[in-house]
Amino acid sequence: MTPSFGNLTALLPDLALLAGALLALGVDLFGSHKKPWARPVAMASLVLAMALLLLQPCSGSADPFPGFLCADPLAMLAKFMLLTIALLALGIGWEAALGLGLDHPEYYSLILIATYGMMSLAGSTHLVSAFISLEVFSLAMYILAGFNRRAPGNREAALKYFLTGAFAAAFYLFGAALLFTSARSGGFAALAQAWHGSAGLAMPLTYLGGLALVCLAFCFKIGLVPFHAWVPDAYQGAPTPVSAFLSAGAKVAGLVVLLRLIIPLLPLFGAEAASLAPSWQPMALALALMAAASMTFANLAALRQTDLKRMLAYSSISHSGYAMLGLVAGTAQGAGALLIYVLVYALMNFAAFGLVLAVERGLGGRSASFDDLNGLGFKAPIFGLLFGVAAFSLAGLPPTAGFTAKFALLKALLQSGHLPLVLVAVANSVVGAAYYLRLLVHLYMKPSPTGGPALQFGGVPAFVVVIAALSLILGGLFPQALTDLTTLAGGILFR
Amino acid sequence: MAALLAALPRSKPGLLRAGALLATLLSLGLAVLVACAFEGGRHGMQMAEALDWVPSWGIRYSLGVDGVSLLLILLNAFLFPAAILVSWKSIQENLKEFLILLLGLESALYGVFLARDVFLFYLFWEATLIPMYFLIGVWGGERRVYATLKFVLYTLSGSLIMLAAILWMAFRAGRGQGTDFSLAAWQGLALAPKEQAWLYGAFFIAFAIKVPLFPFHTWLPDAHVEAPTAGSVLLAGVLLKMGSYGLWRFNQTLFPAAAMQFRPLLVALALIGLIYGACMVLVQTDFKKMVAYSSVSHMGACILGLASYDLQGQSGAVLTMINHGISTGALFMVVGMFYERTHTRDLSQYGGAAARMPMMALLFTPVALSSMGVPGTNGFVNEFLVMVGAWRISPWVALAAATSLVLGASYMLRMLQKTLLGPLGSAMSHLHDLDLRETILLAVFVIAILAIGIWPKPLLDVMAPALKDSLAHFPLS
Repeated sequence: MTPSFGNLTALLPDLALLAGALLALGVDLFGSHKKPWARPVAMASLVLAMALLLLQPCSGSADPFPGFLCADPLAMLAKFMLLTIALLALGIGWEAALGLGLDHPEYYSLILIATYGMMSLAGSTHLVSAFISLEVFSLAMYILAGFNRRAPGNREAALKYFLTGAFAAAFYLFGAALLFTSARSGGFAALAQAWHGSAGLAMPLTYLGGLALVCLAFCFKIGLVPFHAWVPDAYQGAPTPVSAFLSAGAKVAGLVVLLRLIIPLLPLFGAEAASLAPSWQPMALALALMAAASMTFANLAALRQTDLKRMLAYSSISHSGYAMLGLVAGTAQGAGALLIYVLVYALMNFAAFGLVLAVERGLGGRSASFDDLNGLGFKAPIFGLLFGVAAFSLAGLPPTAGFTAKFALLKALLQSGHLPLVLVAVANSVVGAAYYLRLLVHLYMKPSPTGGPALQFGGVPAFVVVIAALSLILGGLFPQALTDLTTLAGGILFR
Repeated sequence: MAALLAALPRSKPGLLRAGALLATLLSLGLAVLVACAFEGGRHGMQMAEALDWVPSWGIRYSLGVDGVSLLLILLNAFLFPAAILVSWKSIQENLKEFLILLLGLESALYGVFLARDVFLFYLFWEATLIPMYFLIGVWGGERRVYATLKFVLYTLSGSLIMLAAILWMAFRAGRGQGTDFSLAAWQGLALAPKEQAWLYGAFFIAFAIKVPLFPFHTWLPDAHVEAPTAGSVLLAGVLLKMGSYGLWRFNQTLFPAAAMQFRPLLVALALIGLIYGACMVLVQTDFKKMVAYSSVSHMGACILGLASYDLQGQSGAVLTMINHGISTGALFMVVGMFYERTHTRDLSQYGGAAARMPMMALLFTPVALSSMGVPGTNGFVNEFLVMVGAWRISPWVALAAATSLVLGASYMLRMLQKTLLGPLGSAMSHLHDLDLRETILLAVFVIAILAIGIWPKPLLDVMAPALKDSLAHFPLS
């Protein structure tokens, strides 16, 4: 199949980002050094992309590249989330960018390129376009992770991320090649057709193995156990805004493309369900096991952490596991719950990382541990309150959106009859609560050290965190808007 | 209300306290208004209010009152001004946050007792954890962090199991059309006995931890001992009732067959709690721990009354909830008042306070007598009714429960003796008697104790229709 052009207007938001990325790189060659233009250009192109996206009809538009890239409501919702995530990332790193050596045109340009890659991945419907998008965003991310190369652990983080990422890319390519040989096409629709067309026959091993390898590569990007080993090191060593961006963005893009790949394979109908069961069941089991293992292992590991960013990294792994449950449910409700979950995760994740960044800046850029939070809750009441909202939301306690998201997931999971997984998730929520509440123990229940470093919390990053925290409370109190949005987007896969 | 308080300046502690007190008194006034508007003889929910909240999940914001909820919200409204007054002087640091959390807790507790939508109930149920977590953890004693984490994680594990069961029920009530969380819809469901048993168990664990029933009670002594006085008063006074209320409201009406099936277990655990709690009180040397374990014992009696599935027994149980809230609340305040003066809870350093603190002696004694169940105080009425209920279960159960009366009398008398009588204890040298605030506070409680003791009929009348409604779901006699 040769790519043909379709409705290119649907690509305008993506193109706005690319244009912004190029402009941000070059613009400062012409201006003065005192007034860098890269940041305003980056912000402007993100806002422009957002505006262009919102101008498009909610019901989705015709595919820009039929068979390769689509612009359905799911892609639009994912793009909306990813643009928000990029804005949040620039926001929490607003002033820190200067201190962390991030304030170079390349930083802004790479953030835009990575966002473009993720957006494109979320709209991919073909193995080739998915691979290109995956690599665009990964390559940008490898550089971003190592951007602050003078900081301790930074180069280690970038190198680990890069090497393991390269392995994942190789697995992906091998898997894609196997899928091509057995299905004679790399389009997700064609893959599903080959799968459903084999009714009554066992799928060839090349197909199953290829599918497994491709999924594995995505699971690696999301950071699911057992492909999670790079996550704690990378998050801890990378500049904090980048860690936040990576953890939220990669989840949205990776999980959406997994939804696109796997949901059409579901054996939906009676006779077919029986014939496909031997092929499908091991895969479903593997996904369920990975989700359960991610939650359990990462939560237990997080209990033992003393470094805040490392704790958040393990928490990110466990949240990947939770979000994966939506896919395991294999229903429209499950897909909707997954989307709610990643959206809410992005918000609480940015709130938490933004607050940790404020502590780090107070410490002069050194990475922050639990003990650095001691007594801050009463010394800086607003900071403490925001941290409280983020922690309760991460722990999934009402009245925050974290609870809404967890509730939606458990509901979908129970509806599709996965009672054991519900119980695993429930048990994990208790373990999770234990370490998120420890944050509050340090904030409110430990004496503050005398003459401790001042917190640097204010300006744009504080504004961003306040917005995120407010959204978390609103999402907890009024979940209807969330469910409407994601039902529409998630339902598209089940037509 | 709490939001309003946040706007008040931190620099004026007097204003903050007055504002919070005013807010709670206002809410008490409103609760009394609700009580006046409440029609005593009518069955079913009154003053119901319902708004669509999350229609796609079948969740409504719906509230309503019946006799039992009414009494519990009155108790709630009554205890909060007291909690603020009792911490008038003892809480000096971070006062503003303290008061905001108290008011937040009060709103959440109202929500728990009023919710008619189970999702809403769960939301409020969990929301009570957050203020309590901070109240114990920030303003508590030495081992406060351990105590508060134990409290929250213990309760949370129970509630999350309940959440799974709530979801299950919501799907059943939705009848294949999504989910429905309204309690009314749940009550008409016909569930298979085995399904009932599982669901009953899931709800039971959450409520039993909260009550707390033996063997789920281990968090309670820690939480009580470490909590500030106001925290202990509210924990014992209202928060524990969430558990017994839940057992009554959900387990009994939704899963009647399982409720019958599990009745021997419930009775056994209640009896063990009743007697074991009382024995534990006897061996304590810590004043506050004595009161904490007496809570375990009293709540055992409450559950025994519920397990009778009999109008009188259950009236006794509900009355126990109210009376325990008043008496134990008052006891914790007495402990707090002593502690502020002596800075120790070790009873071996107490003694002879009656001579130095005549007013304390005068007010402490009726409180202790009420906790013992002496006729004329409120404690007698509920113990009597619970014994009637226990007799209906089996005379042997009543006999076993009666031993707790003896034990109760012995530990309460011992408590009075150790504190008020005997030679002057080593920690008692600088005692001054109750000031006006403390006197009025305790006097109000004593008046309530005596009033309910002498004329309990209005309370019993108010709760009777609700109890009958709930027992009507029941196949038993």
